Amino acid sequence: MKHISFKLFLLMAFLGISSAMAQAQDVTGVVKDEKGELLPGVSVQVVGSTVGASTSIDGTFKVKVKDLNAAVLRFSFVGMQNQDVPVKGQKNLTVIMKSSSVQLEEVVAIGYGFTRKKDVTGSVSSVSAKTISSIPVSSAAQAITGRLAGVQITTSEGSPDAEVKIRVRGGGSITQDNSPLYIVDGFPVNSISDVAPSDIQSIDVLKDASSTAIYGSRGANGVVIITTKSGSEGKISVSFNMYLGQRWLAKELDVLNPYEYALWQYELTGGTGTTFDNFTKYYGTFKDLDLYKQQAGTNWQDEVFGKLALTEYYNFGVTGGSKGVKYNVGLTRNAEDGIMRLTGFERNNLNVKLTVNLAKGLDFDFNSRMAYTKVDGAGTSTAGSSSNARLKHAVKYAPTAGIADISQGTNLDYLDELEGSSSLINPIDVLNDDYRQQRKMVSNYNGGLTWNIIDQLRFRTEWGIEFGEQTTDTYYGSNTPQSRTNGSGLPMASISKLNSQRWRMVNTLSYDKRDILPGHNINVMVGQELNSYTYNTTTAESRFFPEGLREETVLANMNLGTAQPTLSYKAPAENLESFFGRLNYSYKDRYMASFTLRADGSSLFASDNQWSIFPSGALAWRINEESFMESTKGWLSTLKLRASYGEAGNNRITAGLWKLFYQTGSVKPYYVNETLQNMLIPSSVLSNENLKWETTITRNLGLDFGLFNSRINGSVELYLNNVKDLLLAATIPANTGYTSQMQNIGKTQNKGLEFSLEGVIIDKKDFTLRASANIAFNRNKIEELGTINSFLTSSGWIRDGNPAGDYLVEEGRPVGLMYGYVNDGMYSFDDFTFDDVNKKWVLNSNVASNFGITGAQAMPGQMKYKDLNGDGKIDGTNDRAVIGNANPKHTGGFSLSSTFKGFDLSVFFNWVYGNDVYNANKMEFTQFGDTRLYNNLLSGMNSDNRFTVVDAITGDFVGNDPVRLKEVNKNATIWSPRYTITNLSSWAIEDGSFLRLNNITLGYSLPASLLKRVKIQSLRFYTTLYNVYTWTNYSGYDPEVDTRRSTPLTPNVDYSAYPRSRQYVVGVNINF
Amino acid sequence: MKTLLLYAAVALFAGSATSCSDFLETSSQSQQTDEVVFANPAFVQNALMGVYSQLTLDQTYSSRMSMFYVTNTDIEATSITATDYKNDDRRGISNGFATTANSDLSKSWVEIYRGIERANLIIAKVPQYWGSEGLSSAQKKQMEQYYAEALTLRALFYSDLIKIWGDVPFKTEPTNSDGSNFYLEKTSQDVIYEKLIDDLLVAEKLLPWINDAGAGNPERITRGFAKGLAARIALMRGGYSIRPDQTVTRGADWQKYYQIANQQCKEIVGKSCYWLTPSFIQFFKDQCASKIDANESIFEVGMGLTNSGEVAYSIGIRMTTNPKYGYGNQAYTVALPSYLYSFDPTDSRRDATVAIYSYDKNAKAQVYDNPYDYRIGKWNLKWASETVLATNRKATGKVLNGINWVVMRYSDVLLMYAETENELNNGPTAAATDALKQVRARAFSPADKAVKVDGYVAALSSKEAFFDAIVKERAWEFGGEGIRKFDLVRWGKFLTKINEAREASRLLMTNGVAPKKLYYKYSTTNPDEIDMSTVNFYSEFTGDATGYSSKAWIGNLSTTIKAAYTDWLRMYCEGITTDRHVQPIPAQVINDSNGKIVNAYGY
Repeated sequence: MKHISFKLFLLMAFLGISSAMAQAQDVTGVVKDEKGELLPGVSVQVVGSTVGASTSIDGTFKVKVKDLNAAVLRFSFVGMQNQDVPVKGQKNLTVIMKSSSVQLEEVVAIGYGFTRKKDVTGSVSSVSAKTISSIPVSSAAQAITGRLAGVQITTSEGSPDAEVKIRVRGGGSITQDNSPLYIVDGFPVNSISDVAPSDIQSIDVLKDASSTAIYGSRGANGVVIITTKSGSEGKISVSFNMYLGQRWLAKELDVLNPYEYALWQYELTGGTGTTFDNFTKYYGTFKDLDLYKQQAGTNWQDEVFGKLALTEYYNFGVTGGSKGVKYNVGLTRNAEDGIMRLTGFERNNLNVKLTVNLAKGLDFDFNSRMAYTKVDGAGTSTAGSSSNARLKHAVKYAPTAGIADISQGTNLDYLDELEGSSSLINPIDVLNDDYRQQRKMVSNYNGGLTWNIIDQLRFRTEWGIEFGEQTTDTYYGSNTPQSRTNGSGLPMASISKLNSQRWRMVNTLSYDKRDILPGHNINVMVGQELNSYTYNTTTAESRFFPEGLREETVLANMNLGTAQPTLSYKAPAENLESFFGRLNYSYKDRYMASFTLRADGSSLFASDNQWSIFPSGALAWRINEESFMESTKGWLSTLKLRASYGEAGNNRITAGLWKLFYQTGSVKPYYVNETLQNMLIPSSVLSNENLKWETTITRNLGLDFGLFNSRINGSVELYLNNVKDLLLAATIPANTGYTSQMQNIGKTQNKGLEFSLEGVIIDKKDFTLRASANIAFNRNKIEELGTINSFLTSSGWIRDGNPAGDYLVEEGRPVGLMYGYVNDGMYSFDDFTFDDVNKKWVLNSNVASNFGITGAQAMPGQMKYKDLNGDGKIDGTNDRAVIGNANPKHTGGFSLSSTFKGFDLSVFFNWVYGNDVYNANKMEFTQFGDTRLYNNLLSGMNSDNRFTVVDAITGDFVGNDPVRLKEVNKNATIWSPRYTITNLSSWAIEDGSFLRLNNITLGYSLPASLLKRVKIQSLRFYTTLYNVYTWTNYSGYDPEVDTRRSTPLTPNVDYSAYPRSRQYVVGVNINF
Repeated sequence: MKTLLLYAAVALFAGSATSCSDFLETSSQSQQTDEVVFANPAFVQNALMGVYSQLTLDQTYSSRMSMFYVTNTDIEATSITATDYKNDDRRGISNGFATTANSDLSKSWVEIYRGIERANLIIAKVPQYWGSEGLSSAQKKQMEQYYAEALTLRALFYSDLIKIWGDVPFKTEPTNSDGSNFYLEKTSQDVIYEKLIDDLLVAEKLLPWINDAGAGNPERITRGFAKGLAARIALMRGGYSIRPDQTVTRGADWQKYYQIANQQCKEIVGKSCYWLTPSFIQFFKDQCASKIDANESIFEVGMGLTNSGEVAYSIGIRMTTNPKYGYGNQAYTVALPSYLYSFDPTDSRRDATVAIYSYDKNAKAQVYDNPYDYRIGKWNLKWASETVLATNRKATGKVLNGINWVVMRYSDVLLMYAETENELNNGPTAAATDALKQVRARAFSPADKAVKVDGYVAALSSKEAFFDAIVKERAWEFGGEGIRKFDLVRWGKFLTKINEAREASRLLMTNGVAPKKLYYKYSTTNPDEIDMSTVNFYSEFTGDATGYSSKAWIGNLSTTIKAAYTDWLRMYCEGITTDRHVQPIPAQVINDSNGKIVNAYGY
């Protein structure tokens, strides 16, 4: 290599000398943009020589040319079209540079390469760095929320580290993960949450199989490609971005105030017995209840989520390069406090990208990304578990301490009674004792060598490796249910580690030839790739630490407690081997065709079924280039029709499903002599050696158009996706010893329509206004489920209903149907006859009894359900129906951005329309499966609204006095929470449609003339407001919620989610 | 240079294309193939523990198989109230109101079959490996023992399935992943029982007796249990049962199966490795304290603290949360008043089995107001080990306390032996009377032995009288232990006895057997406990009441309690109107069976 560089050096030296020897003459000039602004930093090069310069801060330049008449100057500048200007003897030039037209010249990532946007034949949506940088975002997913048609992004809850669900055109799988494939700089990754947004150059989402088929195997759910920033030659640019902000709770759930709470507790006692005695002891007599009207009470939601949480974001970047070397370095720190006490999030990123020209035609590039993330706090729930839900403490815990509050004391007896009878714990105590910290370090290194063997023929090899280490520290103090149940009320702790390695090797050979025959352009690429991923986990747990030890001590000295069995697991490597090729062909830039073929072999299947081939093809026609469209040239700048067909695969199953394997089991072990017996148990899912690839067939029809010199651009897309050989966790008869087996059965379909439009409405020198909008419609359908054509599944947000199952999966219908009883208001007095002899309400024979499911004798004021089969009784088998659908009718977003002189303003809205949300919170906070005592209620259940058996004026219990009961309840609008149990009914299903003013940003850039003196290129101050307002009829914290994510079958359950916050930030962007 | 690069590029392409075969074959030591597991006796033992572990679940012996599925009977019932007695939950199962939508039933179906499948794998695979050359003779013997344990466990699981559902799908080989044995029809319970008996008679020969070296303790299956279970199953096979067409008939060739039961019991008794612990209550105190009594216990399910075991929580003496013993319990199973009064007044099992009191928030015994609240006294949180109590004191919810569930005690074998001797020989033999005497001798004080044991048994001269005595004796001996229901079933007396008990309990209010008021003193040594010797169960109290506490008793209840008690007697077993003891097959099972399984027995 050395001697090549040496030769090059000699060559350059020679050229330099030879040019200096010629008779040189100066050419000067000034470079402006179309609006007349002077452009500094424009590169000016004498074509055919190495002589060059760049414009100074006032837009002027000066270069020496050999021949004043023959010389041609080449002007280039980021965001502008290159321009060759013949000098033609002039000594002083004025050059106007044209900006690259809005987007048609943009380049998009298409997998193993890039293509000009105008040559795209498939369906690709993109967001550029420009959009990302103008509005500060803390994650890549946030940057694309609502901006791309057909890409639905759901942030599952409001915590700073909340999981983000990305779905491209619905989801084809039923029981398996529907996440797209994430590729960062060519490298497949598990999550894009650890990529710093400031480092992102562009995000491209490949939506149809003709685009994704090049990723063959895993492209079935779409591909999200993130390209990070690279350096550019000649220009060193230093940037600094920061913002500071605060977030606060966006919405609180109203609960009963101390008076209402006390009155409710009074009603629960029934007027006699131990609970009544306890009530009198701790809350006083009925006459005392008025005193509670003076109390403000404790707002526990405020105590827990009331923090004004600080957000900080710093990004420092250097980009530039000199001859043969280009680099980009980004350093980012993002720290966010959660609005919930003791929760927070911190991420540090280092991104280095380097390109070195080793020799003529030989480039080496290297990039490394390191991300360290730390998440503090256990949040409000653990996905998949309901017993650890913590939101309930903050909502349901007593707002008053009863008499003790009034007499300013603490009554320990009362606290024992309250916490013992309600299973609620002081929310602050729970928080303090439920400690969790998660630390994650991801390091990713990629090297690539590109060699232009001969003109247009390019060989590239890439090698990459990624190491991940994730540690989760958990501590349960004595106030947690975990410690009280399993740890004798003594502290317990666990440390679990996950280590992962992933490596990848790719070789591609490409040939790109324009005008191979006149007008015919081809681009051929063939390649081969190896991917390997493996991980191992270790969990150490200790219990029974000495009382009072806190997390720091415990986690640093696990052996101070009693060690529990250490669990370890090493996953078999998930290996993937692939061969692929692509042919792009175009004729006169008018007709374009693209064909791809990919073969993948996966270690997840038995050896006979490892390989599958995924072909695709696409055609595009740029109609506006046709001669018969000549007359439209004036207004129609682009009209392109695209059609594609392709197959993509999916192997997203866990390793080791194709054969019977034994693993160590850790739950419910057997004991001999009180000693745990280690066990080896077969996998809980029956193995299947016939497992093979799942295939998604997509058809896409798209139309792109640009009007008025591309001031308005838009596209319409129509698609039909069918999945066959679906990898489905199929239900099998339990007499097999298993309940499910992964099988290639079933078919699903997604079809939809997407529109996107953007335009420059006003484009004046001092005033611009741009707008963009997108909307997408998707319809999901299960076409075939296999042997069983429908089944019920449980979201499991609380104890199992009887019968179990609150989501229906059925052929011919979409995934995400909520299934339960139909609410029919409450039993009225007219439904009963009062039996004066036995002092009992007797249900009229024409009214259905819900005794079978509530277990309570019917009474006026109980929640009533519809008797769907009309047999006179409500039961789980016959009286449940589909009562909700989690699938939206359409989703979308629109934005407006404007600049006026130095100011810029942008607003962004996004919406989801027509979906239902399963408000499990509402049920938990007003309905009771277990104890009602000492539980607070949502304020909708206050004494004015609810059916009650207490005369709120006299305190009399009037349940057995029909006249007074009627009188007391004449205005009652909602049933009594006394008699409910938590079976899903249509009352808990709410319209989840919303329109969110997602963010508003106002910025001010200081005039360049002012900044010149301090050598600053640009300086912008801005402020952004997030989650500004949400228009919705949803009664819970926020309609964008998805808490039961252990299976994709139970979407949109709002249970114990971390509430969402509102936020403002103030920031600055500086470029030197 | 360029040539070099070109070679390298070609090599890269070619190299990766040829080295692919191994690349796609990946494995991990965390996922062992059956070839690895079954070749290694240590791993086989681990796999066997995976079968045992299925006994410790909520859906099996932690709760359902030990309580809800094995009541209600003429002596015990799952507690119910006017608002919940018809609920289609656990109570509904005991009380005859379960429907195909019952989620407890569907969960048990899944878990019991999961246990069977794990056993099937061992039974199918171990014989393929036990002849391997690498195994020592000791290892080979061990493999045989594991095989036999798996056979016995499978028999236990299937007999439990039949107890709950009658005819069920019967599969004795592992599930084929190609689906060829997924969809099975139900097999007649008689056919299943016969195969299970055959299996057990194979298994018992491969198992060690409890007193053999290396047998371990009764938490593992030994020869005595395989034989005892064979006897128990043979009696079910030879006894009465409801049939799919709802008739109640006795299994054909019943003598053949009584013969088998008799033979097995005889061999256990003859081995002399079991004997009854001298104090009846001590056996249960030890159980609660997590101590194992290998003399009397033939097999018990080994539960572990915080992981499994609900005894003393879900069944036993009711206790309110209190500082001494911690979180209170539920104690779902109640004992009938007629059961209390069926005991001989001097029978030590009466107070050991029927607790007429619960513990209040100071852990002090308080006699119940309601006659339908009596609990089973054999399990008491107060007797739990300090380890368990330390956990329970801090608990705010149910603690799985690790107390074992005894599946078979030696007295069961003795009484099965006596019963079969009497049946097969058309009257009690010496062996039969001796076995019955052993059981009674333990229940009465030595002073009473002549009358209550020897005299009592001697008076049972006829086959009928002896059988009747067995019916009663088994009630007194096994109250709360989940045995009564299936005794009644196999005798064809399920409904009859329930109706008798209801009537007997009703009569207690009027027939003068129970006093109007109960007087009792608290123990001088332990003031929290009632001194049961001071209680006037059978006559009105006379004399000085100083130092006594009292309570209105069954002979003269308050109007309210009387009404509630009458109501309770109506609700008790209201859903049981025929001899149908089986439960409906869950709708989910029928739905998943591809049309192969349908409900019978009138469901």
